[in-house]
Amino acid sequence: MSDDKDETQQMTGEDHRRGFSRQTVAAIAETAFRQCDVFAKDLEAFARHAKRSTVNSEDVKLIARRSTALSIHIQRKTEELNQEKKSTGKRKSRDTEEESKE
Amino acid sequence: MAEKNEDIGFKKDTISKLLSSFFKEDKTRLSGDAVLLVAEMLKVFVREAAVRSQKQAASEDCDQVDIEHFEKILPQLAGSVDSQSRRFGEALE
Repeated sequence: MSDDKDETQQMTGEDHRRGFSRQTVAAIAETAFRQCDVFAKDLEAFARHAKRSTVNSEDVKLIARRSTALSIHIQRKTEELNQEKKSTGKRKSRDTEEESKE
Repeated sequence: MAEKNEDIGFKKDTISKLLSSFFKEDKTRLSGDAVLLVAEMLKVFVREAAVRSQKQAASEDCDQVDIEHFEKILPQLAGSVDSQSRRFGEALE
């Protein structure tokens, strides 16, 4: 996960010719980690509210609802994923119920 | 820039384990799509943080993005995921 973060920082830095201090990279990583906790709790609550034990894309769309730009982006991504499934002929049920808590 | 952004992201496995570790109940599971979408949301979140921090550093005429630049933009970033906001999209353009 930190590799992806470093690459992202490097990439964005090059565009604006400004590097990130190591402390800043660590702080952003920490914040993203904490945001995951927030997402996870909300997702679990939404799924439970819908009487499901499996979190699905509808739940994720709900957590993105408060930002218009983010909602649209996630909606577009969902459609992309559905399109991929149709073209590769993958059965949707294959992906569900496979992830589990370790 | 759009093509470069597509390659870098969080691994599905990382997100799956991370989210699972935060669930309160053992029975809660994740669909494959949900994991991919959360990975996408986090990618955007990190990119927003980076871009906003850079703009803050630029506005202060600094060559390097330091922690205080990030700290200044953090309140609005955190708030943008939790409140009505159209501004959460600088990194999406």
